[in-house]
Amino acid sequence: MRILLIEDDPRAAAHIRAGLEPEGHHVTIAPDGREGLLGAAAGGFDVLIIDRMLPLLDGLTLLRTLRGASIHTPALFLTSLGGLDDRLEGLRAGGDDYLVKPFAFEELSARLVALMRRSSAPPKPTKLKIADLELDRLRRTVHRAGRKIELKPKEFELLEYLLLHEGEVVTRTMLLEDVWGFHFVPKTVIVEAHISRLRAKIDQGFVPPLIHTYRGAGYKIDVA
Amino acid sequence: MWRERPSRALLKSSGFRLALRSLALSLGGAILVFLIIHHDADAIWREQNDTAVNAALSDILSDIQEDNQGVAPNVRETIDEGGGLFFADIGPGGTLRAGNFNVAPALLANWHGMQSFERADGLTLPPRVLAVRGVAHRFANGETLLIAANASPLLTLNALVARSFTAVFGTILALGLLNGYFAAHAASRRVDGYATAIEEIMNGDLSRRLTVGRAGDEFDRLATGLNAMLQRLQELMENLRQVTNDISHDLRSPLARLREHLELSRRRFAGAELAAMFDEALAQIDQALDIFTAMLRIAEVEAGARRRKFAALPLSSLLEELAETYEPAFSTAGIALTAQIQPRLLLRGDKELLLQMLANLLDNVMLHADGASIAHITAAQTGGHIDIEISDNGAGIPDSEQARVFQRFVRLDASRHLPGHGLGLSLATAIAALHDGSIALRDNHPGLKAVVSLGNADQGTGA
Repeated sequence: MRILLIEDDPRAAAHIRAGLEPEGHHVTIAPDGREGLLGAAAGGFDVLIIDRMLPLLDGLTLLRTLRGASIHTPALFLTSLGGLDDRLEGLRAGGDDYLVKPFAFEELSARLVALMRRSSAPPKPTKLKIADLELDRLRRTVHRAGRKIELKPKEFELLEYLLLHEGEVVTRTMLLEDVWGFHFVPKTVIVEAHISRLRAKIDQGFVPPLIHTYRGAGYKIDVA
Repeated sequence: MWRERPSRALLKSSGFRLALRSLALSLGGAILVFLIIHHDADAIWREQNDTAVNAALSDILSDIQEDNQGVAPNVRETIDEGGGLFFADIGPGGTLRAGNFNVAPALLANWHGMQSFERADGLTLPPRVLAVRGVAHRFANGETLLIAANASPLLTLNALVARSFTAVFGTILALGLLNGYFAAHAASRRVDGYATAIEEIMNGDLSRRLTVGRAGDEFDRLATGLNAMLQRLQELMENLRQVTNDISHDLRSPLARLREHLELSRRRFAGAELAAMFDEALAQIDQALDIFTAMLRIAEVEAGARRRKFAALPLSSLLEELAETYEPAFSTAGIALTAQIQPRLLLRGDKELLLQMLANLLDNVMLHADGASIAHITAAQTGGHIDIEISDNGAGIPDSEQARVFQRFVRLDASRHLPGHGLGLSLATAIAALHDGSIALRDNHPGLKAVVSLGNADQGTGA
């Protein structure tokens, strides 16, 4: 994945590059807003990582300018501005995701993959299938091996989200944000508890197991 | 909040009271002017009248002395000469000997010196003469000579004065009341305008200003002054926000870099012991960042600006969802979580913050309710209030400690070994306050009950 990282702090930029390159990404660094804008406008990147507080041109204005020029490269804000309204401002400016520093590399990496997939994948069908599991998004029903499985609303949404990100690791924070609308991390292990409930319903007694845990990173639904 | 019912507000308004005071002064002034006019006109007329009457009396008395013909012929002679005065020569028996008017005996007995009488008092007068003023001169032989002037003009004058006074009084009264009404109305409309603006400012819109008119009156001066103050406050708040952001950025950035550095380094070393050390260091940094985030969040909530983003929320489904969200984790910990929520509750508020408040309270049950086996969420509306209760049957909090747990960074001894920073309840309280509400902790016999009372219930649409 070719990534343009627009970050003015050279040490932070070097760290992020060092964290992402071992995972097979190619990272180009733009040290200020103007260079970032020029680089992004020139094209050739799969995803943009934008800091909000940049010299010469701030991140919000930069992305608004790009979106105004119909450049729709997926963009993730990576910033220390974590106030209640900051995230909303970032999304309104055309950001596709918003991650507050500090972050875990697994988190950043998972979100970048999700962004890439979202922009390139065809629209998702109303029926999501993996192995012998089928989820009907309209009827809100789930079957595995032809047997109907009763899920509670949140369990259904969780499974739907995992299926929409089939083959990708989704992090606990992504699930909290997108399934529960929690933009904070509760002290209770609600994601873990839901995953184990879901597992008991869709994986227990079936082969192969579909939900996989990646310690410290997140969860993935996959056949392998 | 400080607007009155219109009718009462009018009577109590300073503008109206001021207008009433000036009205009373105007009326007092008018009364004084009329009294003076009346008194002076009366005095002038009397003086002229009395001089004429006295002159006629001394003329006739000197004539009587000179010609020795008695009173009656002289009276007749004087009447014939004209002059407009009234004369009467009345004999000791009460008969009119000569004269152009007559008086009743009773009146005659009462007439001493210069006096005024009206026709009704017992006078026989030509038509159109309504009253007279004059003297009675009594001779030694019992005869009485009356000389008087027509006093009708004085009566007319009095009537005129009274009529004008009534007209002027009425006009002043009407105009004064009207003026008072308009003054009070205009003033209270402006004050209401200010009240609206101030309410919006209190609700977090710091950019709002009071309207300043072009007249430059005292209201405009007040508004200009207040606006200058608001401008200063806004700048200070903006500075504070900027400083907070800077601190947030300047403190978070190095911590974030440190975290990245630790994370990258951990990957480089394979030893389990080293990995554990890195994990511990990362956990410590995350804890510090957590405190930071919570403090900034509390400051943001307390600033109140979020109120502008309030929207009607379906609280019942939010709570049902929250119960469903927490049930599996509670169940794993051996706590049965149940909910009893009044359907179709609506609340004006900030969804993200309310979720965080309720999640904090549920987290507290999970973390601190030692030995609990049951937890229960209830919600119900009474009037404009919605009460949400989260109760458990765990160890509870001793009465003596209940107030302390609301203080920032306070962690009771029993929970020192647990994760957390003692800001969760402070944040929850700040969020409740933002929603015109409060949080109280009560003894649940056994266990603890957190009661969240929120004031923004959407009335009428609730069940």
